[in-house]
Amino acid sequence: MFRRAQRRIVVPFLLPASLLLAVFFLYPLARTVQLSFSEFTRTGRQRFVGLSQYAELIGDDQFLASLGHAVVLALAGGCMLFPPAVAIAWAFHQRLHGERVFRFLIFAPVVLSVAVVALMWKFILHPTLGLVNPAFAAIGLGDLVPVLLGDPRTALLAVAFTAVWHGIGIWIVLTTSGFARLPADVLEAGRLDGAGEWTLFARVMLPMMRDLFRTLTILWIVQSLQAFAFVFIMTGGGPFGSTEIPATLMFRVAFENAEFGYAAAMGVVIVVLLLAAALGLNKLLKRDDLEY
Amino acid sequence: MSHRRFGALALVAAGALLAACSGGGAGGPAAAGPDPAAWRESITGSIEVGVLPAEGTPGRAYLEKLAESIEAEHPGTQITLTFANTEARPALEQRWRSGDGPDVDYGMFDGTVPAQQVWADDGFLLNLKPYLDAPDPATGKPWSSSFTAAANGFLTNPGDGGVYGVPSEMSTQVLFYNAGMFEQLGITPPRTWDELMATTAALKAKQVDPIAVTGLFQPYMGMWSDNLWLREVGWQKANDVLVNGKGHITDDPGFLAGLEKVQQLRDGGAFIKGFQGTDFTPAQALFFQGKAGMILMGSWLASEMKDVIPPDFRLGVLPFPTVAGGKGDQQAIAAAPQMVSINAKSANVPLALEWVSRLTGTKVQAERAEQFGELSGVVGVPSPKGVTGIDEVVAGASALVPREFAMTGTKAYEFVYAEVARLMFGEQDAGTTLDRIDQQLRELHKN
Amino acid sequence: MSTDAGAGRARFRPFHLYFYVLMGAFALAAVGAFAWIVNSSLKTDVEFIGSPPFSTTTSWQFGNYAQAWEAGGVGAFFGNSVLVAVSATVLGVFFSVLAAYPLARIRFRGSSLVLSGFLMGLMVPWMVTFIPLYLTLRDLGLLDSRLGLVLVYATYNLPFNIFVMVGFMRTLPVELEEAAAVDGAGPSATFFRVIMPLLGPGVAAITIISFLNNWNEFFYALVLIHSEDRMTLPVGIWQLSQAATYGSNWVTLFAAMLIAVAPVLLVFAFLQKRITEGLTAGALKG
Repeated sequence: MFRRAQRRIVVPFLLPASLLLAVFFLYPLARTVQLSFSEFTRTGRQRFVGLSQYAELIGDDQFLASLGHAVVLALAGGCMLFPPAVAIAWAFHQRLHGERVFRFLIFAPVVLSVAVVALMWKFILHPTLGLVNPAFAAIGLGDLVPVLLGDPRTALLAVAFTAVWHGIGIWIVLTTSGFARLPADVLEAGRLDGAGEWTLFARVMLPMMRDLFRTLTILWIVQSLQAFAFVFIMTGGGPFGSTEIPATLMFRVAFENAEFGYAAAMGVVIVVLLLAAALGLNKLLKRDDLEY
Repeated sequence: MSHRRFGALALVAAGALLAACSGGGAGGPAAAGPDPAAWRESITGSIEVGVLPAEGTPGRAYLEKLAESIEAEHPGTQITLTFANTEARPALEQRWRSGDGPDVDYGMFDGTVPAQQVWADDGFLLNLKPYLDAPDPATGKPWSSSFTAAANGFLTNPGDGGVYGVPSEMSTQVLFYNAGMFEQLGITPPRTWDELMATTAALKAKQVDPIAVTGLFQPYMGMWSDNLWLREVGWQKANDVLVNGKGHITDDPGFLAGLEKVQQLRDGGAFIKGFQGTDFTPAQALFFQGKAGMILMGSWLASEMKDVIPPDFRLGVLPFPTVAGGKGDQQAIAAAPQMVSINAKSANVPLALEWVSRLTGTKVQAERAEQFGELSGVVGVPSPKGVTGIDEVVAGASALVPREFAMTGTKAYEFVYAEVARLMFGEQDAGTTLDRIDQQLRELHKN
Repeated sequence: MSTDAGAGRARFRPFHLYFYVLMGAFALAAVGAFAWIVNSSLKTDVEFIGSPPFSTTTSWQFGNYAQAWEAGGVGAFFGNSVLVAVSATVLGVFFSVLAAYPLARIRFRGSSLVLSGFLMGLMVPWMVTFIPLYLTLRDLGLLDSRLGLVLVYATYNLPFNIFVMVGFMRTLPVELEEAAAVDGAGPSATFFRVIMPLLGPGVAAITIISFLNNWNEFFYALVLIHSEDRMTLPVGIWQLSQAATYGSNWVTLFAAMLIAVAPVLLVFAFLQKRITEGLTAGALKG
C-alpha cells in the first residue's frame, strides 16, 4: 500500500535530473553521431559524407597516437599518483605531530584553479627562466635534464606530473577514508602478535582496501581523460604531437580546422571504446556495491 | 551519382535536426552595404572591433584613444575592442560561423592565399571595392589610391575581383641583430649565408647564443626554411610544389640544400639554449636582453616588444642573407599584410567603415609608424623609427612576396613546419625531413 | 570515523621519520612553487627575463598587484567562478539527491535502465559532446551566458553524485520508511523529514567534490564563454596569460594568479578540517 504511494513520487523526483541529462548530455550525444556523417567547410557549410570520415579515422596516425597518449597518461599518472597518495594517507593515519600543516600544504593545490597550476608549472619547467633546469645547471648536472616540456620523450610525463600534483590531495583524502574504515581491533590484534607497521600495512591494510583501490582506479582513468586543461595550457599538444590527447585533438580539429564532423567522429569512436571497456568493468563496479 | 542521391535523401530525412545544427553561416551573396558616396552621413550605433595588440600594451592604448576620438566625433556611437590575435582566432572564427562575428576583424581575408578567401567567397565579408573606388572627401582621390603597390597585391579576391580587406600594417620577415653588441665585439652584420655562419661562430666564441628562436611555435621555426627556400629555389617554384601540387619537392635539389643549411645551424649550436621549451615572447625578450645575437622575425618585433626593450638597445636589421649559387630570388623579402575586413552582416557598416578608413588613414598610419615601428602599406607614410635601416631593407627588396609561399591555412602548412621543427630539434636530419615532407605532399596532392 | 577520535597525537617512533621525509618533500614542492611565483610577481618584466630565476627581486614591484587588479579583471573572474561553481553545485547536488532516492529505495519498472543511463555519464568523457552542446546552447540562447554554464556543470555533476548517493542511501535501513508510513506520513514527507537528515555525510562529500570539479572546470568554460566579463577564473587566467605573452607582461600575470588564489587558500585554511572530514565521513558505508 505504501509501496504504491511511494511510486507516485518516482517521476517527479527523477524528472529534474533526467531533464538536464537529456538536454545537455543525451541529446548532444545523439547529435554527435549525426554530425559525424557530415563534412564541414571552414565557414560552416556541411555536406553528407556517410561513413567516410570513420574510414579516414582508421588511418589517422594523429588520432591513434592520441589514444595511445591517453593510455600512457592514465598509466604513468596512476603510477605517479597512487604510491605517494597511499603512503601519505598511511602517514596521516599515524596521527603524527604537525599533520595539519602537511595536510594543508599537500591539499592546497586542489583548490587552486587548474589554469593557475598549469601556468605555474609551465613557467617552473621553463628551460632558462624556470626552476628545474637552472637548478640542475647550478649544480653542474644541466646536461642530464632535457627541456622537459620541449622534449617529445618527457613532455607527456611532465604534464602527467603536473596533473597529479594538482589533484593528489583529493586522492589522499579518499584513501585516508579507507584507512579510517579499517577495523581497529584487527590492527590491534596484529600489533599484539608482534607484527611490525610495515607488515601490517602490506599484509593487512592494503588487502582490506582492495575494493576501494579498484574504484579509485576507475575514477582516475575517467579523470585522466579530462586532462585537457593541462595539455592545452602547458604544451598545446606538442612537441610534435607527443602530448596530444583525444580531447585536445578534437578541440583543435573542431575549432582550429573547423572540421566538426571529423571531430564528432572521433568522439563517437571514443565513446564506443569506453563503453566497451565499461562493460568489462561493469561486473567489478556491481560487486563494489556502489561505494567509492 | 547514386552515392550523392543517397546523401540528399538522408539530408531530407534528417530534416529539422540538420537544419538546426548547420553552423549558421551567412550563405549566398552578401547584401549590398550603404551608399559608397554617402555612408559618412550615417555613422551611428555600436560596433565590436578585433584588434591585434593585447590589453595593457601601448599599441592597444593607442587604438583605445582612436576609438574614443571617433566616439566623440559621432555622438551616440560606441566602439568595443576585442583581442583578435593568433591564439584568439579559433574562438572568433567559431563566432563567425555562428553568424556572430565581430563587425571588424583581422585574419579573414588575403587575396594571395587561397585558404584565406573562403569567407569572402561564402558571403561573410563586405565587399569594400565600391568604397575604395569612391573619392575620399579629404583628398578628392579614390581611397584605393592611398595603398602602396606592395600592399595592393594582397587586396583583390581572384574569385570575383572584390576587395574584402585592407592592410592596417604590413610585415616583412627580416633578420634583426643586436647592433650594439655586434659593434662591441667587432662583428660585421652578415649579408650572405657564409657570413652568417662566420657570425654564428664568432658569437659562439664569445659565449653568446647566436640565434634566438622559439621551439613552441612551428611556423616561426619554419621562417628559416621558408627564407632559405626562397633563396634556393624561388617563390614560384616553392608555391607550385607546396600549394599547387605541381611537381615534387625532390625534383629541385634546392629544397634539400635549404634544409641542409637549417641542419648546419642546428649542428653548429646556433640556436639559443633551451629553445625547445621557450615560447616566442620569451625568445624575443631574451634577444633584447643580449642573450642572443640575432633573431629572424616579422617586422612587428619592435612594436610588440616595446615594453621590454632596454633603453640603450640598438636594433639592427638586415634582409635574409643571400645564398651563393641559389637559383631563387636573392633580393626578395617575404611579407604579409595585416588585413582588416568588415562583417557583411554588421548592423552598423558606416561606423565600421569609419573605423577602417581612420585606421588606414595617413595620420594614424604615420603615428603608428613613429610610435610603434609599424610598417605601413599606405603611400606617403614615413618608415618606422627605432628600427635602424628597415626602410633601406624594404626599398632594396626586388619584390615583396607572400610569406609562407601562401601555404597558410592548408594541410601542407601543418606538416611542413612540423617536419622542419623536427629537424631543428635534432629528431631527424635534412634528408629524412625532405623524404617525410615529400611523402606527405604526395599524399595531399595525390601526385 | 576513527575510534580514537579526540585522542592526542601519536608518540614519536623512529619509522615516522620516513613519513616526515615524504610529506616534507611534497610540502616543500608546494612551498617552493609558491615562493617562486611570489618572488617573480615582485620583479619587473625586464628583471624576470634578465636575472637568474633564483635571484630574489631587487625592485619589490608591489604595483604589479594594483595593475593586475585594475587591468586584469581578476575580481570579475573570481566573482563569476564563485557564482557558477556554487549555483551548479547546489543544483547538481539537490537534483541528484532527489533522483537517487527512488533509484535506491523504490522498486519500479525501468529503474535499472534509468540508473545505467545516469551512470553512462560517468564513463563517457565530458568533452566528446562539445560540438552539439555548443549548438544546443546556441539554439536555447544560452551560449556565452553564466546560466548556460551552470546548467552544463550541474548536468555533468549528476552521474557521480547519483552514483555515490544511490550507494549511500542503500545502506540506510529499510524500516525507516515503513515506520514513517505507519505514522501516516506521505512518501514526500518521509523523504524530506526522515531520509534527508540522514544524508549529511554523503551530501557533504558530493558537495565538496562537485564544487572542486566545477571550480576547476576549464574546457567547457573555454568553449561556451567568450565575453570577458562572463569568464570564470580558469579561462580568465588563461586569457590573461595570452595577453601576458603578447604584451610580454608576465609579472602582472603572476600577481593576478596570486590574487586569484589567495582567498581560496584562506577559506581552505579555515575549512580544511571540515572539508577533509566531510570527504572522509561521506565515504563510510553508513
